[in-house]
Amino acid sequence: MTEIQDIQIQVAQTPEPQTAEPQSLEHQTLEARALHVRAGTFAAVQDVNATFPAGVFTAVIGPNGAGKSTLLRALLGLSTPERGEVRLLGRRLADWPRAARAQTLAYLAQGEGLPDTAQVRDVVALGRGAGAWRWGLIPTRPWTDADELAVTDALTRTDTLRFEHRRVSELSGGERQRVSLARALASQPRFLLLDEPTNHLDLAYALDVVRYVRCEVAGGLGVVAVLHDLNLAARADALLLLHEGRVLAAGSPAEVLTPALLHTAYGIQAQVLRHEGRLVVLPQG
Amino acid sequence: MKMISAFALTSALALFASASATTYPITITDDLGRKVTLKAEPKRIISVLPSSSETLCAIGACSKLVGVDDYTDYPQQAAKLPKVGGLYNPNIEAMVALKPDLVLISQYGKLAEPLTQAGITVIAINPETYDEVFGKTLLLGRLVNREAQAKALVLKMRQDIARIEILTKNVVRKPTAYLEIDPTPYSIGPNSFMGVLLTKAGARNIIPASMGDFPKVDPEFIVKANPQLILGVDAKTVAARPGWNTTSAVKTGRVVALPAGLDTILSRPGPRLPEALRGLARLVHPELFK
Amino acid sequence: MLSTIHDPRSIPPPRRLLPRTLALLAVLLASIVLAVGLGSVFIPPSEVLGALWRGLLSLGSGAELSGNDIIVWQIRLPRVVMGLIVGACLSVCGAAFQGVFRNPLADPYLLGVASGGALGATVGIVAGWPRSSIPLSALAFALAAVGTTLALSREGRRFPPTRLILAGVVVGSVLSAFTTFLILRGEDRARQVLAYTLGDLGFSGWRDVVTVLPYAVIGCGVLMALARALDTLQLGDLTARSLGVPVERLRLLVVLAASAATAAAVAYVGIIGFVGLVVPHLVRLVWGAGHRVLLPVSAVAGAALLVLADLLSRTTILSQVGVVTTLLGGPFFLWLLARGRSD
Repeated sequence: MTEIQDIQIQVAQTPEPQTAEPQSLEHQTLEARALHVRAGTFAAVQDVNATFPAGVFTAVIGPNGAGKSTLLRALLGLSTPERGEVRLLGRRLADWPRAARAQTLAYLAQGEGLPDTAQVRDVVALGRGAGAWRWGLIPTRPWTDADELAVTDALTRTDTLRFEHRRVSELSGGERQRVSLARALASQPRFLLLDEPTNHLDLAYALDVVRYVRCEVAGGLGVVAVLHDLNLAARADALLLLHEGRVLAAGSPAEVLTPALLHTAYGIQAQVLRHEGRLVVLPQG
Repeated sequence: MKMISAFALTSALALFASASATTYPITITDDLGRKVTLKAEPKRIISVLPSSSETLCAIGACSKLVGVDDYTDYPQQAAKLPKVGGLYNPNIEAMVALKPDLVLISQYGKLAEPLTQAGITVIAINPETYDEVFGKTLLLGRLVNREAQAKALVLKMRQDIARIEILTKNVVRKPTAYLEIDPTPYSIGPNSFMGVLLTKAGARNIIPASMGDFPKVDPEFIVKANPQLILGVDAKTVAARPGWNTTSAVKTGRVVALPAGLDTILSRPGPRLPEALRGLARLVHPELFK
Repeated sequence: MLSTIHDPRSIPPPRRLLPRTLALLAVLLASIVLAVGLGSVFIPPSEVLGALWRGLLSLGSGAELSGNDIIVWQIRLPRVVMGLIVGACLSVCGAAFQGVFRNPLADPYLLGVASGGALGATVGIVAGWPRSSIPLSALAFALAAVGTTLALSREGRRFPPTRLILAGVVVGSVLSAFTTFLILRGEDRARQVLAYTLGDLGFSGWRDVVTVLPYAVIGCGVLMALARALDTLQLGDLTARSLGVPVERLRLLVVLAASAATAAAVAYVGIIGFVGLVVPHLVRLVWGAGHRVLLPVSAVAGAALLVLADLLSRTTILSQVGVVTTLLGGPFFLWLLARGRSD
C-alpha cells in the first residue's frame, strides 16, 4: 500500500515524464491532420487540423452536431477517416498494433454503461485492455502483479479504492463516473479521451471529475475532453471550438471564449467575464 | 350384406317393440351440457365428426347429410359430400351456405357458438368410451328419426363383437401388450375406447387403469413391464430406443405397426367398431384367424 | 473525504462465495443421485449402485445387462446425462446471449433456433419420416434459421445487435406460422408436435448423448474462452473497441457458438423453456456479472435444474420437462422482476 503511494507521488512529482524517454516534443502528441470523417452520408468532420500535446488538458467544445464526438472517435481509431490521418506519438494511428494502441489511448464514452452486479475492482481491471489478447478475444498472458498494481493505482488516484469491493449498483452517479475514470486510467495510457464526462452529474461531481483529470494532466497525461458546459471548459488548458465539422477556433480559453466566436458557433449573445482569474461565460437573454 | 342388415333390421324391430317414430319437438342434453331442442326431423345435416358421419350412414340417414368435415372418408357416399373444414380450421361460411337444419359437432373446437348465433341448431355428440358408442348411436337415431335402424345397428354391432370375443376370451395365453398411439410416447388405459378393444382382442394391457385413459408413458416403465407384444410402432423405431431391445416383444419379433386402415377405425368410435376389434384381435392372436 | 474505513458491505468475495459454490455443487450431485435413483419404476438404491457397477464392467467386457440394470444404465443414466448437458448448454448460451446483447431478456432461442428446430421437427413428423431422422431435420432447420437471421441483419461486415434481435423475432414468427400451418394440415399428429415443442428427454440414449456432446463442449468451450471479452463488452461497444476488443467478431463468434450448442440441444430434446433465461439471472444475483464465473456457475446450476425438472416430469403428472421448467421459471422470473422494482 505504501509502496503504491510512493510510486504515485513520484509520478506526480515528475513534471516531465518524457525526460525518461528522450524523444522530441513533436512525438509527444496526438494529432489530427486534414481530417475528414463521414458519419453515414453526412460529412461530420471536415479538414480538421489539431494537435493535442501530452500534459495538456484540451477541451473540445461546440454546439450539438458540430462533430465533437465524431472527432473523438476518429482520434481513437474507432472510425476510419475518409481523408487525412491521425498521428499518435508521431506515428500514423492506422499503423499502430491494436495492443499498443489500446494501451496508449484510453476512452471514456458518454454515459458509459457499467454492469450493475459487477464489483468495482473487477470493472476497473477490465481497463487493462484486450489489445494483447489472442485475436483481441482470448487472454493469453496471465494476470500479473503488475496488472494488479496498476488497477490499485488507478483506484487510488480516483479515490475509489475504499469501495473497490462494492457492487456498481450500490454507487452514486458521481462514484460511478470515478470508477469509469479509474477503468480508463488502468491501462496507464498516454492520452485519455473523454466524451462529455460530466453529463448528468451534479455540479459538485462534475467539478470533482475535472479535478481528478487535472491531477492526471499534471502527471503528464494528455487529455482531450468533449465538454458541453463552457464554464467547465474554461478550466482547460486549451480549447478547440468546432462548428459544422470544422475548427472555428483553437487556443487558450481567453482566445476562444470570446463573445464574437460564441455568437458564430452557438448563435447566442454572451458576456465573458473574468472572475478570480477564471473566465465565466454568461449567456444573455 | 344387404340381406344380413335386412335380417338385423327385422330382428331389431321384433326385439325392440318400443322403437317407434320420433315425435318432434324433442329436447336433449348434448355433450357440451347444453339443452337443445329439435323442432322437426332434420333434413339437411352437416357432420363435423367422422364417427357421426359413419353412424348416420349406417342407420340409413346418409341422404340427410349435406356436408362433412375434412376427415370423413367413409362411407363413399359421405366422403364425396362438400367438405367444411376440420376441428382446428372449420369453414363456418361454407357450413352456413349449405343451409343445414342440424350440425353435429364434437365437444372440442369452438363451433357451437358461432353456428348457434347464425340460427343453426348445433348438437355436440362424440362418444369417447366403448360403452358410449352404443348409447350415442341410439341417441343419434332418435334425433334423426331412425331409432329402429339405430337399435338394429347396435344389436348387430354387439353380435359381431360377441363372435370375436368368443374366440379371444377363452385363449389360454394372453400376451401382455403395449399399444402406442403416438411416439411421444402416449398409450391407452384399459378404460379408454381403444383400451377396451385391446382387452377384448385378447391382450393384457400393461398400462394400469390408474394411469388414466391417454397417459404419456415413461419409457422405463414400458421396459420394466416387458410387454410380449408392442403395437402401433414399427420394429425399427422400437429397436433404436435405448433399452427396448431387451423386451420380449422385440426379442420374439412381435412388434407390429398398425395397418393404415386399422389405425383410422381404431380411433373412430362408430359403427365400424367390430371391424376395429377384429383387426386388433388378428394382430394379437393371429393363430385364431388363419 | 468520507473515510478510508473498509466498507462493511465490501467483504472480499471469494471467501463469501466458496460455501455457496460448494452448496451448488452439492445440489448438482444430489440431483444426479436422485434422478438416477428415482423414476416411474422403483429400484432400491443398493440395486441402482449395483447396476452402475455392472454397467461399467459391461463396458469393458461387453457382457449383456438385464432387468433393472438395463433401466438404470441404458435409460435413466443417459437421460440424466442428457439433462446435464442440455441444462448446462442452455444456461451458458443464455448467459452469453444476455451478455453479448446486453439485454436481460435475451435467451438462447432469441435468434430463431427454437422456431427453426420446431419447424424442422414438424416437417419430419407431419411427413411421417422415421423417428431417428427428426433430430437431424430439426438441427438443419435450427441452424438455417440462425443463418437467415444473420443474413437479414447483416450491414456490410457488421451485425448490429438491434437488427439481430429484430431479425430473430421476424424469422421466429414466420417459422412459427409455417409450423402452425403444418400442424393444421396434419391434425392427427398435432400432439407429437406439441410434445416436441414442450421438450422431452424421454428417449435420450447414449447415442444421442454422444451426438450432442461435441456441439455442447465446443459451443460452451468457445463461449467460456470469450468470457473476458464479454466482460469488456459490458462497458459498451465503443469502450470495448477502444480497449482492443473486436466487437463485431466477438458478437458473431458468440452467436455462432451459442447457436450451434442450442440447436443441437433443441434438436434432440425439443424446446425447453425458461432455463436459459432464468438461470443466468439467478446466478448473477449471487455470483455477480463477471462471465468467467457466471458462465461455469450457470452451467452447473442449469444442469442441476434441468435434471431435477426432468425427474419431476417423469414422476409426477406434469409429464413434460418443458412444462416443469416453465411452471418453475415463469413465477421465478416474475419474482426477479418484482425484486428489481423494490430495490
